[in-house]
Amino acid sequence: MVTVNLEHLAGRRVLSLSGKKVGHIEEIRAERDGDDLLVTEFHVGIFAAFERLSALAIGSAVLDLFHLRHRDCLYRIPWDKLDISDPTRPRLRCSLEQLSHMKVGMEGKSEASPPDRWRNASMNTVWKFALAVFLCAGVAGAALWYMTAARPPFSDQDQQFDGAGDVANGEQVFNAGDCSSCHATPGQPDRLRLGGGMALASPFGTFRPPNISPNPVDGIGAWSVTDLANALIGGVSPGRKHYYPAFPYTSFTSMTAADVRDLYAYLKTLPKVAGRAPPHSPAILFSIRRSVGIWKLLFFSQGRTAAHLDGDPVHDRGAYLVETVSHCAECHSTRNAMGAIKPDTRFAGGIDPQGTGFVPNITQDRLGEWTENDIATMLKTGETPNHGRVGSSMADVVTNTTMLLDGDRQAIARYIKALAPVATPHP
Amino acid sequence: MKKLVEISLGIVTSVGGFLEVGSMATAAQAGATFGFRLIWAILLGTICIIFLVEMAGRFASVSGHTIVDAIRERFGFNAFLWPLFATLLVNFMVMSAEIGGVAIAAEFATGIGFQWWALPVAFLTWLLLWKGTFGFIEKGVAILGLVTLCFVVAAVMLKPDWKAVAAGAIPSLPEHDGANYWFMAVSILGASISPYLFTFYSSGAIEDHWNKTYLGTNRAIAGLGMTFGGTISVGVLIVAALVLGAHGINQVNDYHQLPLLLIPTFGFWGFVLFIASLAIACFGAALEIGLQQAYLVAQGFGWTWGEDLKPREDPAFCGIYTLSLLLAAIPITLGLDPLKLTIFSMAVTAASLPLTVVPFLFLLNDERYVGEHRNGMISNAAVIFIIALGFVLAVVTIPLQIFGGS
Amino acid sequence: MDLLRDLLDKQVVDRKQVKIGKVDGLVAELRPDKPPRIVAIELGAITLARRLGARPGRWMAWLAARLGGERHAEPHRIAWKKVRDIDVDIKVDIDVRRTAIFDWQDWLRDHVIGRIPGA
Repeated sequence: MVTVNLEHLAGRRVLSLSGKKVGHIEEIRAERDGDDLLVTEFHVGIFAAFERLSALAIGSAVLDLFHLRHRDCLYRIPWDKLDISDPTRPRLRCSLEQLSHMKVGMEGKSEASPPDRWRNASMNTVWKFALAVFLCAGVAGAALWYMTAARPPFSDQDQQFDGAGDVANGEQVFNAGDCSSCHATPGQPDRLRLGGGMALASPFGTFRPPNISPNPVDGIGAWSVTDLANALIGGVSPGRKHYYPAFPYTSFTSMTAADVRDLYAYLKTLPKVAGRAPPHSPAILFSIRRSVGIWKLLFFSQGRTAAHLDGDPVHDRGAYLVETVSHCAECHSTRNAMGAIKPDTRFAGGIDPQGTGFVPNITQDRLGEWTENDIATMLKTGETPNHGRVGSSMADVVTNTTMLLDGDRQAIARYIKALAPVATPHP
Repeated sequence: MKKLVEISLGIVTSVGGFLEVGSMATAAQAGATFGFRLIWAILLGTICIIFLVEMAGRFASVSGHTIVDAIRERFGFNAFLWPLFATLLVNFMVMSAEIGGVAIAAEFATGIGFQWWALPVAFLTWLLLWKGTFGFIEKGVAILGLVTLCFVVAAVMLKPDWKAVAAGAIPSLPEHDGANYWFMAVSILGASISPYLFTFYSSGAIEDHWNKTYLGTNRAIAGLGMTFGGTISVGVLIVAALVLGAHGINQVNDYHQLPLLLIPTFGFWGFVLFIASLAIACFGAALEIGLQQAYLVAQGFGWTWGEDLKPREDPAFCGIYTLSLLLAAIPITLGLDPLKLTIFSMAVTAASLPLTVVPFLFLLNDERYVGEHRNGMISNAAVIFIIALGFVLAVVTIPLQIFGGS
Repeated sequence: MDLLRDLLDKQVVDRKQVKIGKVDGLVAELRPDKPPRIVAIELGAITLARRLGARPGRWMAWLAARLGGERHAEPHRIAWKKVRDIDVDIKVDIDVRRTAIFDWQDWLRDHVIGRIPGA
């Protein structure tokens, strides 16, 4: 007795004599004959599947939506016209010509000869599908384009930056913000010649801080105070482009309007430097500036600060300096795969993106032994309580913090002392 | 009268099923970080689960098949394997999280670290399944589960700004932490629309011998019960927003912050109530998921199933829940943080939704199963909406998992 | 009758209403010049594994033979003439305890589940 397992036929592709695809077996019809159950027909085609799932209405609606209904509807192939001796490779026993007579049009209309039909149908399907994909992609793309646009938060009519800036306070902001560490022209001793051009290496490419001297052509001499505010607080350039977050506007975003105005006034007093920094060379993913818009959607919120306030004016001043102006967390934290600070590692140290080693944990987990005065002294002299000196990038930072008012260093120290201990993340 | 008792019991039962560690943890996190702004996600999830549970109950009552049975029958064995494995995996993670929830409650109560509690908790769960009957488990857990109502009481006693609460029912874009906001929304949806809820419900309908006369009961239980459960979740969110916010906690990243929730309202008893709520809600869910794992496999392969049978009469069924409880206790015993596991498993649940919900579209329209009680326009639209939502969630969950969860 | 819709993958119950499995496979006899005739339904892991592909089928058959001996090297078949009723469930006129279908469940009961107190 030759037997076959019929379950292997379910969903199996049927080939014609010449090896052409006919469709998939979706149903096997059987009829009782006395005590026996005899296989009478094999149903092939998408409509057979709809019938099996009782989804004729839904299925037809979907097909109609894409005008696919004329595609091979339903073939009812009699048992003797299909060779199932190998149920994993069912084959037609008749010609395609004969097959077309087994077709059951779901609207009862006769069909053209199958081969032509199929070619047209498949062309048509591909075309419709491509159109649908194109439209969906278009809508999604437009939405993304809109959402990732760089919109400057302030307009020139904004009056909160009006008035003459306080140059002395601007200098304090400039020093607290450690601007010169990145923007001073490398290879010369004057930290106030802000020609830019230092190479900041990171996993996301090499970024070069631009010329921010008051040179009107190469620097930012032509900027209005709102341009500076848009850059610091919104991360948007006057040319309405996103800045790369190598520029730590993620911290600066909570700066006060007065500080922006004063900083603007101070920058105006610095020497004009000619020449521009070489262009950035970002990693492929970020070479399109717009992609920074996506990053900002995920990780940047304008005006937000991570500062915890406790009402003590010294502590709260420190919160503003540490979290906003001095942007300490930008280096002293670990970053995630997209280069954003992991909130639970804030101030707990991390790998230096420039690859120079590990930036230390500055929470009480590691600085528990330091007194407030130790921290303030370190910021003034660079000396640590155990008679060492801070090194690498922190040494640059100290050249700026050493010029701060004593009260501000004390404020920074108090806030740092108040940071909850967080274990150093393991790299 | 009998029907009325049946309905109220059913409502209470579905609360037991609805409120588990996932909905509590996600609601508390969302409340702490985003205030009332994510209430809409709980509402949306509750509405979706009402539709799905109603359909699952209707399907079982009319056709005498459970949803799992029917997926295998209609779509064949090969297609069935996908939802089978997806659901087994999701259930495994959720069950592990539930065991973790009970273990954490035990840690609060005794001070002994949670990982030591995982195996005892799994054992207790197993013992109840081993000795108990379906009715006993269903009703016992349900009545104890009423203790979770204390969250609603606390929410009302804290006198929230109801206008702000109502505003939270309307979706809005976040001002900060975009990635985290959407990740929380996805987790809340995952916690509300759990596949085990509706597959368990359809098995329960068969265990309780429902038939066509129960259609009204089914509708009432699905609608009111899930609404009830959703209300408690909203209660947790409101309490979290008001209490944790006031204590300066705007990010729940540790279970130990949670008992704080009820203390301002109830004092020391708040601590006790919280422990009791957490333990009972998670324990009930662990029982249901343990059973559900066994239902899933037994129904899929056509073995005898039923919680009322003695283990000796049904070794395969009992073997599955024994094994799955044992396996689920392992991650917690090894010290995996239950809160992280919970949030992660909720997001995975959301992503697995299309696999379990797509069959509803076919089964509930199949006259051979449900005859004249097939889906109307609204129910079908709801299913299509949930499928679309599920697909979106599946696509966004993975990137959010990487960038938002960190 | 539509075999894939109304027969395959449906629940099988024996004469004592015990759920013994699903219709995992359908066996038809090929006869020269006559329509194929259904001769049996198949149950069990080997049939299911074969539906996933030839290789999983071979592995499962090997595994079943190793664990259960010759008696389990082939899928379980129930002759078509034993099928009594095709409704929500497929009712067959056999007693599952007289077949090898539940051997593994018996083993599980005798060696594992039965040894746990309270079973």
